[in-house]
Amino acid sequence: MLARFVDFCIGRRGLVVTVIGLLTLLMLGAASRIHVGTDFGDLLPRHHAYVEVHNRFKATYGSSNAVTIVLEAEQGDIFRSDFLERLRTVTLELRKVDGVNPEQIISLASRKIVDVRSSSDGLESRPLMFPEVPSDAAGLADLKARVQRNGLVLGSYVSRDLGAALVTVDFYDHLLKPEEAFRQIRAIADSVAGPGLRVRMVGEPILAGWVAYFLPETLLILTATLAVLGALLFLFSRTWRGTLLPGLAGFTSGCWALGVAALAGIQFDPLVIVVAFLITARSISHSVQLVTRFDDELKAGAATAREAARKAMFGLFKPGMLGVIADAGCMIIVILVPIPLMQKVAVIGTVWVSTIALSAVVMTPVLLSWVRLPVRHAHPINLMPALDTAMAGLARRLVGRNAYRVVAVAGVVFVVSGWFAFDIRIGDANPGSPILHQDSAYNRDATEINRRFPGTDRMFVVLAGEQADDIKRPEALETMNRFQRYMEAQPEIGASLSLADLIPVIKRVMRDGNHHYEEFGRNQNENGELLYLFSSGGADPSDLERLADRDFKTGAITLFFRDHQGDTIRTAVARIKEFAAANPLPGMQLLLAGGFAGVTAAVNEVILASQIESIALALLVLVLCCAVTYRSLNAGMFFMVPVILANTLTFSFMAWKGIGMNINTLPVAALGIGLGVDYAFYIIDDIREELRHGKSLEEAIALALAGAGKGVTVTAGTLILAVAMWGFSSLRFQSEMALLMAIWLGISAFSALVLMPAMVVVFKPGFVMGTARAASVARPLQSIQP
Amino acid sequence: MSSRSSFITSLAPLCIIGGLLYAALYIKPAGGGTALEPPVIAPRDHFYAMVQPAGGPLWAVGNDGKVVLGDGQGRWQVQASGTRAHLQSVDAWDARHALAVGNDGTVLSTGDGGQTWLKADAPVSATANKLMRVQVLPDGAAVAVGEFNTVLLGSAYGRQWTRLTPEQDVAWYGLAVRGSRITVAGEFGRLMQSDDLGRSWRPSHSPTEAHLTAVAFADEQRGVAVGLNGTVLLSEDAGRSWQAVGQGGEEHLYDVIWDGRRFVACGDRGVLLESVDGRAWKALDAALGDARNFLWFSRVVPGADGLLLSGATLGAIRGDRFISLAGASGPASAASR
Repeated sequence: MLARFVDFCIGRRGLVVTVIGLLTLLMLGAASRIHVGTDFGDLLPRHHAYVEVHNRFKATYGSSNAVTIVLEAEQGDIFRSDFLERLRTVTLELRKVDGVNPEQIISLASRKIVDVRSSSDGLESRPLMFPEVPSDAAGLADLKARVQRNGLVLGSYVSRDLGAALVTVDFYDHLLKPEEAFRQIRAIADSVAGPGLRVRMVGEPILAGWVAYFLPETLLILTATLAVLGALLFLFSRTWRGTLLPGLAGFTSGCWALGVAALAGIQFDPLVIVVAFLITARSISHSVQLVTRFDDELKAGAATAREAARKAMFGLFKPGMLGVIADAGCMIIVILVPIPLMQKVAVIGTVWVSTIALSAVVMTPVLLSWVRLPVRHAHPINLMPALDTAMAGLARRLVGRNAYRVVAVAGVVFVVSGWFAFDIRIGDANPGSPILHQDSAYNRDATEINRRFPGTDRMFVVLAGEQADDIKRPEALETMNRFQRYMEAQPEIGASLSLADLIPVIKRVMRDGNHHYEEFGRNQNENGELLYLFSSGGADPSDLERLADRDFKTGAITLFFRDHQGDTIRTAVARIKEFAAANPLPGMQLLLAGGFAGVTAAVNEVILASQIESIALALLVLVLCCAVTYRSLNAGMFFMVPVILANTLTFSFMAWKGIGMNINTLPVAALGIGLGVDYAFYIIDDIREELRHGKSLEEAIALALAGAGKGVTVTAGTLILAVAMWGFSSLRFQSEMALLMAIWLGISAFSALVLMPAMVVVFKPGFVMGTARAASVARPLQSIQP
Repeated sequence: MSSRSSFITSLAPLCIIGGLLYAALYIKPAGGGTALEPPVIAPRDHFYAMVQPAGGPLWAVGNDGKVVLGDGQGRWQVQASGTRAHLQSVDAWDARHALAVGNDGTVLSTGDGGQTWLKADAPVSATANKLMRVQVLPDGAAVAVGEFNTVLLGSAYGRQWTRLTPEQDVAWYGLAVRGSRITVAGEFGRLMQSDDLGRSWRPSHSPTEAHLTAVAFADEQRGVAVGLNGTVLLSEDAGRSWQAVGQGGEEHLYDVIWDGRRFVACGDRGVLLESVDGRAWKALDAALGDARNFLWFSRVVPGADGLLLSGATLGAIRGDRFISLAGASGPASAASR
């Protein structure tokens, strides 16, 4: 049947090429309309309890996309009218940013920051600096004194040293376009920054904005990588077909994958470009294998290009398709990770890998059939003899005791790397954003802001009652207060805020400002009265919204984190649960967890289990593929070895370099699980075929390395060198992922070239050596020839 | 390859996959060290009062039932008070015996240097029962005052208490005991005295309606009472009559003491005043600098080497300088900079 298919493809090559070409053009059209960007909702695990709490309350208690902007006075304090005017400008201008929630722009210059004073009829909540900035020295001095005495402002919105003012702004998730928001906020910042005033900003939209800002550079590097790739292929293959056909295969696959993604309405996250490159690398590898085999068939005496193409296609169809199906199968299971971004990446990845079946396994030999004989070389530099010598040398050494040594070393490497793999950090391993370099403007801003203020990464925990006014109960407020004290013991938590902080202040003001009365009301009613006085004193009802809902059934406790490292957040979550368990409150419960740190906690909780599950299922797919193809479970075991080794080594490399497993690295790690096993397929299948032809094991290994092995070396070498270009990226994430990929490719190639043949020598597995059971599967090539 | 080993290697991949799936179900990232020691002095701590018995350590008490014992050099340890009520006042007979009182009629006593604090059952009102101030007397006696006309006489180092006054709607904040004369000061400018340790009381004439927070005597005749809005009253007739004295400021004053050579008063916004005669007052707060805006002191007490201050933070005046005793945390760090 395979023979008929091969004959059809080569025989009707015009039709095949036209159909695939037209489809590719259609897909190219679709791909050109793909939206590049990050959808923040995609980063949140579905159905996770934290995320459900987050989604329920984020509109008032704070989304995960809050941006913090800090205006710093380079000298002296901020209480100068020119500085405050600029703070006011920023606060007002932010309303015009697309997607902004105008109720959630908070700064000293906003209406929400109030000074509560007693007045003849109770309380008066007067904005500290709204609508106008004080114009004279007396007004400024008064403002300064009021800020210094206001515990809800000093430290939170004005730094304790009075040298900086903070603005927080939140967005409606569904309206937020991070690149646009970043551009607009930056424009506002630039308009006020100047001598004596510096602006710093952090937050997820800002981070995404920086990533988008580097997109042209990313594309430039991508282009450079492809150029290097082409040049190296040209150098190795010495033919235009050896250069252009793999390139065409990569291009076609890319068009199809992005086209399908665009048609399915999936947007393309720029951080996933690395994954895209990884897959393109696979299609190039497959194509190179075919070109190499084609050349070998010509050398072996094929009369025409058609004949050589047919033989190459027939010979490599099985390992090629096995590689493609195994890769695709390993990717599609990533769809089980309950994070929408991962599911989308899994779909794109699977489509992309699957198209290799057409773009490389079919198209490359079909196009090769048009090659005019005799073959001429495009340049005189011939690296092939050197490579042949190297391969022959390798094959000579891979016998007897050496094979055992290789297997033993691999075993040791597996154990050691497996041990270190457990050191991998879940979540971010360092303060600041791991996406950017430590000395990037963004990370420097983050460090500086978190030094001056209690922390920019927020998590809210909800104390939920069963009926209205439940959180006015003294025991509820008491619990909030104790919870805050408990949580603030963690050094990374700089501060916390809740209704339990506000009510004592109101009571003190009601009692003439006497500090001895900074306490809760004695009962639910008194607390209600205090809150009523606060609201009726001129505060907008929405001013309480970040602390409690309108009927006071639920209240939020916001924790301010100085960093969002995995350990920091895990410790906090463990402590929250510990507190909740030790302090049950009848009729009320503590709900985890919203805000950026809350959803990060959720992501971190699902990542590790998902990754292990993905590896397990990827191995299952691999075993099934091998079992079906070779009718042997042993084959599954055999091909698992390089995959497991690649994963343990990658994990331990990440642990060593402090690269945490997070929402950004997960796509690469998850999609990479099965990548690279196709190298092993080509080599082992080659050995197996040669054994069928009656060659000895030594000869078979030598021939396999000289054929498929050369292709593996060329592609792995080419790709690793090309990937090195990413080292120049301004995005630390991309350089790290590129390094990871290079390691991945290197390990796969090494496994295929050295470890797998050695394992054949040592274990002599039945499915390779051709015992009676396995022999029936593969029919000799000759039998199908016309 | 024997069939048995082949069988085993056939099962191996399934075992590995099963093991990984099992791990995926049960492995959770370790939750970091949860045994975190909270800082001894936390940013949210307010210390309403402090005392240093002769030759002894420092006790400071504050909100949420916090009691800390210090060595005067900024090293503190938390003591278990057994309560979450704000503690408003503390006094000590010696390094072992001390008393603390506060919200919800809380009276705590210790006889072992604070290793254990025991709650005493004091006859406080059920209506309003915040105790604002306590002062110890010789032989294990003590007096405490508070809301709802509460004046309590304690004995046996604070284990037993009797009520000296009937329940009425007046809150007493200030207390000065000299011999058997008790002077109490409270809301709406009210003052009253007893010459027989609380058996009989007479109101004093007061020229103010402002809440009075503290009262202190230099000798038999001369006394000072302070209160909200910068109120200072002076009496030169043993507290029978009082006259208002200007001191130039309107910040709340929370405490006044006679430290042996002068009156010292403290209050909001870092106000710190001194006066030798109770009539002419001058500011003592130059030491605080800019930090005064967010510092407030509810208690000033004489310590082993200088004045001790408690309130928004813990500190001491040594010479002309304000020294934070609260460690690096809290607003005090800004003050010491």
